[in-house]
Parts: sequence; structure tokens; C-alpha cells
Amino acid sequence: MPHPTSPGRIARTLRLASALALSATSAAFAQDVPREDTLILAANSNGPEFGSVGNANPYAPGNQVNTAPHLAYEGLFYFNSFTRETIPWLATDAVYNDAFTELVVTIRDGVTWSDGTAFTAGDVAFTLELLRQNGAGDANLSYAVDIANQLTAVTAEGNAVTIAFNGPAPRFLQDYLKMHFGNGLYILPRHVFETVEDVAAFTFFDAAKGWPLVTGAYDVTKWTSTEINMDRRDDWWGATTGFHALPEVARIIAVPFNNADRGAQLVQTDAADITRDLPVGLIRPLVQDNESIITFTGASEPFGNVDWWSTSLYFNSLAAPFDDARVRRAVGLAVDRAQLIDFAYENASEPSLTPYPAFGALADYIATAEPLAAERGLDRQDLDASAALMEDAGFGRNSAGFWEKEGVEVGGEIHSITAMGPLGTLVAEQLRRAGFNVSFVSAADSVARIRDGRAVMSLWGHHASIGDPYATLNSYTCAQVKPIGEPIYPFFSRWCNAEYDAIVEQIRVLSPDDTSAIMPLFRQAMSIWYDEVPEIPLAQWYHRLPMNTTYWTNWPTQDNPYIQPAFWLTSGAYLIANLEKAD
Amino acid sequence: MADIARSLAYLRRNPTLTAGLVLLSGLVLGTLGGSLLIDVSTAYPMSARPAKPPSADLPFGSDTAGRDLLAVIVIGTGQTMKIGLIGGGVGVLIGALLGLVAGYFRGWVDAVISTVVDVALTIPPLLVLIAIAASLKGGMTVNSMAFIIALMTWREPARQIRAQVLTLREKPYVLTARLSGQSELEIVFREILPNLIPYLAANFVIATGTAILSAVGLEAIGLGANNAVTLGSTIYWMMTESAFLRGMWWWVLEPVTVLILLFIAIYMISLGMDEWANPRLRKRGTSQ
Amino acid sequence: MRHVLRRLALFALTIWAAATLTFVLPRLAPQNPVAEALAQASLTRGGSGTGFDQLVASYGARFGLDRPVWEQYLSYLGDIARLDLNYSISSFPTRVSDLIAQALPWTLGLLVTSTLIAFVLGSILGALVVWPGSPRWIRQVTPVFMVLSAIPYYLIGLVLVYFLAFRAGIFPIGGGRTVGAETSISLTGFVDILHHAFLPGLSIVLTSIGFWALGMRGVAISVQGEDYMTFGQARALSERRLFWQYSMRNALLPQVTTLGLSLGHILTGAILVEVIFSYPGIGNLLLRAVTQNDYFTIYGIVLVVTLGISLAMLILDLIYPLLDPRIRRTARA
Repeated sequence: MPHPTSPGRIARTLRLASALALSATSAAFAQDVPREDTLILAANSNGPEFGSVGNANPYAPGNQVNTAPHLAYEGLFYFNSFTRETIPWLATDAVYNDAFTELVVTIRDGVTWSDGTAFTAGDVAFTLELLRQNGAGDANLSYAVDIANQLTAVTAEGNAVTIAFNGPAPRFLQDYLKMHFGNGLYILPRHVFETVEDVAAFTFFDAAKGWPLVTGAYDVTKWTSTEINMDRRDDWWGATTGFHALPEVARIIAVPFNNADRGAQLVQTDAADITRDLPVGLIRPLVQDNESIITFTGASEPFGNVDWWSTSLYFNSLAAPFDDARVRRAVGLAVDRAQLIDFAYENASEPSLTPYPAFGALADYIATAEPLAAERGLDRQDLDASAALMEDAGFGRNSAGFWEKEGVEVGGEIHSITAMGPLGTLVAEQLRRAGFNVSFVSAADSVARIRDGRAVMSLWGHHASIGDPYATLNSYTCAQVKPIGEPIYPFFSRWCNAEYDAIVEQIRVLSPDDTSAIMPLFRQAMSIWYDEVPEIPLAQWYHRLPMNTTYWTNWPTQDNPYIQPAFWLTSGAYLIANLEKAD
Repeated sequence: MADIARSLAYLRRNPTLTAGLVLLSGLVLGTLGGSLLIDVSTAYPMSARPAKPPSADLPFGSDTAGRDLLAVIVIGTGQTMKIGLIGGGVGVLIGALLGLVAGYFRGWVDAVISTVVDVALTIPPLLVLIAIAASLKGGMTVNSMAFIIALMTWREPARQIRAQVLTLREKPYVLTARLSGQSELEIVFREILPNLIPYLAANFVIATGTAILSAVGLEAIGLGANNAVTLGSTIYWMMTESAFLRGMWWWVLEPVTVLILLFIAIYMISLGMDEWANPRLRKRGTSQ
Repeated sequence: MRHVLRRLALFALTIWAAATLTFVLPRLAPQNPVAEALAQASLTRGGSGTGFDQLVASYGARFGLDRPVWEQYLSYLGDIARLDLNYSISSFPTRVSDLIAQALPWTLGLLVTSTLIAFVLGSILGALVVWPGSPRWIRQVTPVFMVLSAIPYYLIGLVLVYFLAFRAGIFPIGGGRTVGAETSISLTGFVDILHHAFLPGLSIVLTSIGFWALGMRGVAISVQGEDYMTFGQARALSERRLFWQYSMRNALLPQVTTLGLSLGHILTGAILVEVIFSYPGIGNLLLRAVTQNDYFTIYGIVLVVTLGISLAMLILDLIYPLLDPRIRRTARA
């Protein structure tokens, strides 16, 4: 009998399991677009079905546009976090004034909406104004309060959109106008939205009317709970103006990913060309046994690319005993990152000592921060030092071997989402062995507990800094902290420090590109951060997407990192536009 | 001695009961003996190299988090049985009490209790259990889970005990006791309760089975207790960590086999007890 | 007549109890389903998170979650009376009734088919095992099914997936149909759906045959002692005719009652089977709603299921006297 987990065995099983099913698949594609012109995505779903079907309004609360229909929208700019390169798309240029209080965006000539109407600076101004006014009033649209807090006025004249801020806003361009990860605003057609009374309740989908009305190359032609179809419009402005060749993908079909098992089977049987993340244990055999399936790093570890969701163990620094920095540090010293990565990711990941994702754009900052962690011994497990700190803080071991003071045991629940289950279980076990009586929990109300501070610990990712360290630094400022019971989002440490705040405020008004000015301030801020240990950075978070080259090539890889491969990000349309048909 | 001999003789006449009891004793011995013989701390993560098939060192293999599955199965079987015993026992106690009160006192008390039982029997219990478990999951333990499950195991006993009491209370010896001036409580505890014991025992066995069924069901969909090592939680981890696609057959088959044996044991004991409580059934069955 | 009235009152009471339970239970935990839904949706989204509270408040108002609990309860009861199941919180703007309408055919198709197959096979087996003229293998195979009936559907499901889907590769590991095989009605589509439904269905059939056989055996024994059987034998009717027309027909009635009583149990088991097989039915929908705190979807499912079961039991209860001549006679007397 062969080794039970040998890749060949799994692959064989996968093929067999879906062989019969495939015959039915090919029959269904016989309609009008051949399989080789169709791109099939196993996209984000709630279980076996898509959620929020038919809501194409990217600002309506609860929308799940990024299932696939977002691929019809285009951005003003795209941003490549691997290379730090900005790709102009609907806009050609954006220029700040010297004080970063005004930004002028220039719109590209010849762009049209899918109904033939010209795309203008007025559409951009309308979208920003819509959000600004909503944020100041009803506040029921996504991003609206953020925009209202920063903008004072938006005006359009000719091809130029002038955005005025109520103070220096050097990162507005990066955070809201460049499509990358979850960042970036989609522009709405003014001639549709200006007559809509309740934008939050407007779903903007009607295939017969050609809604969502977009500038992108695809029409959403079908949207059910189990399938989304998007068909190419050959009169797309990019092709008619010669800006960019017509995408080779004639039809996009999205089907529910459901779970990793199903995702692996879909891509293995060529029933999908790309899926959402798979765990190492499934993607390793998939790519090693199958020449047509690749990952960002080919068939070798870590089988994917770094995401902005680098993982940390967060404390609720307002809840005893984690209000004592010695206790937080003692917990940090109990963690063995190498062992976590060995068991949770089969060694195909990287430990992280900083709260930053390992992007090229942040590499210098990470190199500055890591020695600060090492100086304080926070880069390795040291159970003796951990115990010494606990004793110093007045704790002793009880009969069960757990730390205790005045009859109160140190422990509690680490809350997180289900996807963190494997890692969370291991972290909890390491801490238990070091005398902290913790357990890992992922319940329906875990996010609520983390948010309003009832959870004393949580496992969470950062989705903040990409191009410069400000966004992450800003998440530990006093403005983010509220008493236990009052919800905060999306950063949960409830730790703050006045001295640290002052340094971050200095960084806020600096251009994100001004590395030489930011670096010394960054070093000061991070020194305080490591002294206080508001959280324990654990590991980088990788997107491990299988990409099938049977029908489509030119997927982003480490040799050709032109954009993030994750198709559900706001940069998805740029990925689709660059795929090439296999020979 | 004579009692034992008589019991043994009876067991020989009731092979179903005997087989069930032998199977159950085997499982109990396995979990009790096993937890004395092996290091139970290896049932927790990072105790062994992950995802290893059974071998001399790891007779049952390990899972992806590095739990030694031999220790997991040994402890898990005991914990799962514990949930069943508490969940079933508490349910039968509550159900029996309600049934006794309803059947003996009749009148409006009976009307209220019977209606509640009828209503409760119609609402699919797992739906309610899932809603409760999801609301309370943070902080759930093996014990609290058993008590939540008791919320569904009381209904059948309540109905059956009530029906039984209704017939018992008209028996001549109960009427005699009543005429001789015994108090209501004395009649219930001295005359009726002893005669209910076979039914209580049979109901307890069935309720234990139901409790285990619900517990494993809840755990398998991820609504079990934190950090608990049970057969149901093993099934949950096996399913979430793609044991099938990774070809980790041992991780699938071990907990499933033990659970199947456990359910068969309970089923045979309950069938056997039916024969014990209703000897007529047995005779009719074999007369064919 | 009194019986009918009592039965109707019980029916209404059951619906009310189920509705109230499902209203109260999710509220036991101090959580805000709207905040949960929005927080989950923004897990990977940018933005500073300012204004999140306002967004939650205004979005919650859309579902009436800003009103006092008693007011929510009253309007909820009103909605139920009008069979209005509101919007899904986690899938807004989809209506709960649409979610259920999409999932229900899968569950019903799987359950009705497999339960009927198990019912028919089990009943025949149970009648045959006590029928003097039946072959020997019937008596050998029956205990096997009885033992199988001790095992929950989903455990047998796991064993079947392992051997028939994973090892042998004859069936898909899960799902309702193949990707891309869309709703268009065609033979391949139908075969595909059957192919996916086979293992979950088989696990239900295998574990329920024994249950029906056991029930049928008990009834069939007593039927054989009845006068009409002796009469039939005396008339020298053929064995086959005696079995089908006399024994089976009369013994089936109590079986039908049991079927009504077991609907809840059958459905409960099917929920877990659906989870094991990622089958796109009610069970998966419920699990999803529970993990996302989608109050309205939870209400809707529990309500529809309870309504269905109570209605089936009500109808059975009311028409049973019409079906069974013996009861009809005593009722008249």
C-alpha cells in the first residue's frame, strides 16, 4: 500500500471523484461560450451558496459585491503592493498641493460607461460627494463617515476633480483612489444614482437594464445563489480607444467555493481556474502532482503570496491581568512561533515579529523593527523568563499548574474566526503548557466579544499598512480605544500611550513616500510598542491560491508579480484584463 | 450468589441483552483501562508529529495538530459516554417526575403537562439545540453541554411514564392501598414507583443513546465544548481539516467505528430490556 | 368534534411555542447580528472603521432591531400570521422565503425519496420476516438492518463517503450538483443531481429500513391472529394475495401513523447528513444562519419546519379515522 498521504494518491482520488461529474459540466457549457474562453472562479460564499445575491451597490451595507460582480467595476488607479508601482486606469494622474490639503485627479479621455454615456470628472466628484454628504447625515453607506471626516468639498471642472481636505491628508490618494486589497472606491454613474432616493437600499442590479452600469469590460448577465455569469462587452472603452487590448476572457463564471475540499476538487478537475485559499495540506499535493496547477511560488513553499492580514495574538489591555505589561510580555515569551508554523502550516509560512505584512514596500521598516523585538527577547520562546516575569508580577502557580493571584487564575478564551481554528488551538495549547489557562473559541458571537472587549484575547490579522507603516501605527492610538463594553473596530488592543500618540501624529502629516523622515519616528514609536507589548505578532498570512493553467496563463507569480492574484480584491479587474488564453 | 446465578441464567436466555452488555463493557474497559495505561496528555495538540498513519509508536496514528489519536479515542470515548449518561439521566429524571405527576394526579395538572409534552414533541429538538448551543458556545463545557441536551431527552420518558402510571393507578393493589388510608405520597413512592423501575431503566438507556446522538451531532458541526476531547470533536476536526482528501483514513474510521459500536451496544441493550420488561414480546417473536 | 378542536388548538399552540422559542433563544447571547454581519463583511475591507457604529445602527433599523424587544416580538408574531418571513440579515436584500424556497426542494427531494424507499422496503421486510412462507435469507438479513438502524445517518454517511466516494471514486464527495451544471432541465442535469444525492440518500435508507421493519414486524404479528386472516386462509386464497391484500394492507396503517410521528426525527437526522455532504438544503442553510446570527433566517427555517411537521401530523390525525374502518366504527358507536 502506498504512503497514505502521498500526493499521487490524493490526486487520483480527486480525479476519480469528479470524473463522472465532469461529463455533466461540459454539457452545460455547450451554450454559446466555449470552455476555453470561459474563466471559472470558485468564489467567496456562505456555505454552498452566494450571499447577498443581486446587490451590486458597492456602498450598500452588507453587500457582497466582491464575490465576482466587482470585476465589472474599474478603479481610478491600481496599486501593486509587490513592486510599489501605481497603475493609472480611469485616471491618468493625481497631484497633491504642498500641504497635502488638496488633491487634483485628472480623468482619462474617451472612457465611457456601458450604456455609451461618457465617463467624466463629474461622476468622480458625484461619488465622493454622495459619500461625504451621507457620512455627515444618514451615515448608512460604507466608507461614508471616513470620507466625511476628511473631505470638505469636491469639485469637477473639465477632466479635473479637485478634492479639498480639512487638514493634511497625504494618504487619501493611496487609501481611497488606488485599488489594492480591500482599499479603493468604485466610481458610480451619476446619471443613474442622482435620481435614487435611498442609496443604501438601492441594489443596482437588473440584467435587462444593463445594471450594474459600469465602465468595465463585463456585464453581469446572471446572478443566482449558485452561479454568477459575466459576459464581455466588445465595445469596452479600453479596446475602442486603444488603451488596453480587449480581455481574452469572454465569459466569467463564478461558483460557490463552499469549502477547501470542494475548492481543491474543482481546480483539480479543471472545473475551476482559480479558487479561494486552500490549506497547505491540500495545495501541496495539488501542485506537486499536477503540472497544470501552479501557485504564486510555483510548486514550492510557501505556495502563495503574503497578504496584508499578518496574524497576531491580541490582548484586551484594559482587562486584568492583561493590563499589566509584564503579564503580556510573559505570554509573548511562552509562544514558540517555529512550532506553530510547523504544525499549523507544515512549515510553509514565516514567523512574524512585527505587526506588518512582509511586502517589499515595508521591508525596510520590518528590518528596523525586528532588532527592537530581539533586543527585548521577544523573538524566541523562553519559559524561564516568562515564569520569572509572572512571579515578579505577583503570581504563583496553583495546584493545576496555572498562574494565579489572590485566587484568580490567569486565563480565558482566545476568540477568533473559524479559519483561525488550527492556529488558535495550537497557540492555546502552548500557553496552557506555560501556565496560562486559555482555550480557543470561535463562536457565532466571537467577533462581537472581541469588538466590545468581553474577549480578553483574540487572534486577528492586521489589514492596515501596505505601502508605509502609518495605518498600522495609527491602530494603536488613543483615538481607537474605548472602555470595555463599547464596541471598537477593526483594531482591538485597547492599549494606548500618549508619548506614542505624539510620534504617530508626526508621521500622519508626512508623505507616505518620505521614508527618510518617517524611519526615525517609526523606530521611536516601535520601541514604545515593544516595551508595552500590546500584542504578540505570530505569523505572516499567505494567500494560497491554486491557479490552473489548462485554459488560462499569465497568472501573477513571484517572477511576474504584476498584481495580487486574489481575484476578490478590489484589483480583481486588472488581473482579469491580463490573463492570456492557453495555447 | 443465587442472585448472580439467576442473572447469568437469564442473560443466557436473552442473548441480545448479553451481547449489548458485553460490547458496552468492552468500551467502558477500554476507556477506563486505557486512561490508566497511556499518557492521556498526548490527546492534546503538538504531542506527536502531525498527520502520521498508525505505526508501532502511534498505534492509532496522529491528526494534523499532532494529537495522538489513541489517547484521543480513549479519553473521547469516556467523555462522550459521560455526556450521554448525564444528558440521558437528567432527562429521564425530569421526564419521569412530570409523567408521574401528570399520570397520578390527572385533572388540569395532567392537561397542562400533556399539552406541553405534545408541543415539545412536535418541535424538532435539534433545531432548538443548535440555536441554544450557538448562543451559549463561548464557555461551554462537557457538563453544561450534557445539561443542555437534557432539554430534549425528557419528552419521551414523560409521555411513556405518564401512560404507564395511568394504568398502574387503576391496579387492584393501588386501590387497596388507597382504601387502607395510605397518603398520596406513600402510594406514589411505595406502590407505583417500584413498578415503574423497568420502564425507567428502559427509558434511561434510550435517553442515553439520544443524548449521545445529539452531542455528537452538535460537536460535529462545531458547536461543542472548547478544548474538550470527545468523539464528536474528533469528527469535527477531521471534517474541517479535510481528512478525506488528505487520505487520513485512520482519522475518519477510528472515531466513527467506536461511535458505531457504542450505538449498537445501546441499541441491543435497549432491545434486550424490552424483552425483559415484556416477556410476551419475546415469546411471540420466537414462536414464528 | 371536540377532538378536532383540541387538535387544532394544539396545532396553533405548537406554532406559537416554536415561534417564541426561536425568538428568545438567539437573544440569550448579548450580540448584535447586524454588527456581526457587517464586521464579517468588512474583515478584509479597508477604511479606518470610523462610523461603524452609525452604519450598524442605521442598517439595524432596516430590520427593526432598534425597537424595544416586546415591540419586535409583536410585529414578529404579526409577520408570522401573514407568513411574511422578512429579509435575511446576512444576505440582504434576499428574502428569507427565497432562501428557504431555494433550499427546500433539495431537502424535500432527498428526504421524501429516501424515506419512502426505506419505508416501503422496511415495511415489506418487516412483514415478510414474520410471514411463514418467506424465504430463509429474509430472516438472516433483517437483523443486519436492525443493527444498522441503531447508527445515526451521518455516521453511516461518513463511512459511505470514505469507501464509495474517496476510495472507490464512484460518487462525488459532496455538493448538490456539478459546478456549471445549471438549472436547465435536461437528462444529464437530472442524472447529475441523482448522482450527488445517491450517497446521502443511501445513508438515510440503510439506517431507516430496520426501524420500519421492526415496527412492521410488531404489527404484522398481531394482524396474523386476526379473524380475517383465518377467514382468508379458510377460503384458500393464494399465499401472495393473503400477504399483500390482507396482511400488508392492514398492518400498514399504524406504520403510517409512526411515519407522521417520526417526521421530526427524520428531518433532524437529515440536517446533519446535509452538513456532512455539503448538500445545499435546509440543514446547511440553518447552520449558516446560526453561525452568522441571521435571526430572521433562523426564525423562518424553524417555523417552516415546525409548520410542515405539525401540519402533517394534524392531517394524519384528522384523516386517520377515515382510513381505518375499525376506528371509524368505534367512533360512531
